[in-house]
Amino acid sequence: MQVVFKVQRYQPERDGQPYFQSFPLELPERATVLDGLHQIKDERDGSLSFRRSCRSAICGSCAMYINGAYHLACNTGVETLKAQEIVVSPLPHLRVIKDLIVDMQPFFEKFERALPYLMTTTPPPERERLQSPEQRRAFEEMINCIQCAACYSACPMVWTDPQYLGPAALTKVYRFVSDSRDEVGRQRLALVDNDHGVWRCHTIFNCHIACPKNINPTWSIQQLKRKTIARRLRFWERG
Amino acid sequence: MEATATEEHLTSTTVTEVGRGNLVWLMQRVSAALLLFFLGAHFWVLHFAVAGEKLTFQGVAERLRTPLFVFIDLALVAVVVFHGLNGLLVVVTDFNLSRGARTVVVWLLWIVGVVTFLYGANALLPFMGYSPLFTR
Amino acid sequence: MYRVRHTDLWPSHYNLGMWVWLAQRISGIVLVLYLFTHIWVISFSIANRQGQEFNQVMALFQTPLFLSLDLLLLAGVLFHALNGIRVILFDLGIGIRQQKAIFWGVLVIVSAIFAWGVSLWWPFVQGKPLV
Repeated sequence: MQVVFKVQRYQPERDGQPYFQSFPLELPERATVLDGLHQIKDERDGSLSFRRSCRSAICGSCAMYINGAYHLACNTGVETLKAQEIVVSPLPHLRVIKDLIVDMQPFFEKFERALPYLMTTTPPPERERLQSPEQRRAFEEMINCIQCAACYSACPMVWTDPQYLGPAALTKVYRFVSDSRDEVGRQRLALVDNDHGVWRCHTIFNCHIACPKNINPTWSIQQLKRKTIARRLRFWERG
Repeated sequence: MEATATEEHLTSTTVTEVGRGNLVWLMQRVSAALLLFFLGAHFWVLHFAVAGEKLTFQGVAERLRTPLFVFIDLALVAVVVFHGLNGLLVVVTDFNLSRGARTVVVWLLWIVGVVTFLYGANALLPFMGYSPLFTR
Repeated sequence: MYRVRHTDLWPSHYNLGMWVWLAQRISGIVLVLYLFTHIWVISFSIANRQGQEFNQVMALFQTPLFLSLDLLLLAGVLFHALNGIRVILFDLGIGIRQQKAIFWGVLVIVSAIFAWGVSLWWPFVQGKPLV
């Protein structure tokens, strides 16, 4: 299979502006975009930089903007893009460190702000905290998140509000709010009940379109909005 | 692994809270639902139900003899002005104003809203046979 | 500092939800501008109790130019209202996963009511009102 990879290059010490460099490639039939990038790095230009780790769509390192859409490079077949030219850019709207590598710091800072771990107020029981299969299914979708930041990069509210938690972090908040074992759900709702939390979301759905794991963050954010309002309205329970 | 919740955990947010956003959001939905009714009535009465009839002072005055229509028109002005200006506040919020600037905007919007409502209500008076309280 | 031309900002790369959100914003702002003009014009046309001035203004608004603007208004209001219902459905937790289908539904209803509006509007343009 013959294709041309057009890859965005940028090396801050050398380049004033990012630019695109074309690499005509001969790839095996079932090659992925990541395979193409590796061929460039191994055989053509060893200075090409990109993040990748697991090569099986579970680590979230290789999210990129490929031919006008968000993809994980590792599970996107070159064939499936049905194009002679494969345009590969880093995640838009994030600071580029080098070539296809973006600064994930703000993303993970917000992720941390979402307190992405189980929290309890009661002492731990003798054995583990039990959960029925049905209770577990409540957050089946949200735990598929691999923190690749595609949704974060795609959200117009993230572009315009540096403090907005963003789709991934809010989805994580809902993941714990809907977890029967977590005991601080109401405090979690208080954390997102502001202009940089759930109320910044205007249901644009870019996050869902971008998500390579087909999670719908908008759905989770909408649940959070309803729960937040319900918590506000039940003032006699607030204490 | 689980963490025991502490005060520190749950207040560890670096967000500068400008407005809470929840009341703005809720009221936008509530006023929208009311508008569907009041604006629907406005369009129906003035345009759809009277297809082809010319809109005249006398016609409107006739209708406004019913107190229900006076109420509907007043409520429409109040709700539509609120919905419009509250919507502007949502748009403005997306431009990340400081807390002080936002307060100024909110006050400005309230002043504009109240003045507009008074203008709208004043405009109903001549139809009901009274002199307007102010003109121009 | 460098500037990247983000190709995701090309309108051809927008997804449907992005277009709909932009349209809701823009129609909302335009309708607010219309609303203030509307209240202002009506308020200014009620200087006397007999309503000659009001009737003059209304006669002006029934000229072809303003009548065609009325169609724009109707389309704008219908879109903003029906899409508003779509947004409220999402807020109630209904149809979030069917957002695109629901938008096409909105468009169908908007078109239907708009067509009805046009059929009532046409006699005005011809200058022979039905009643």
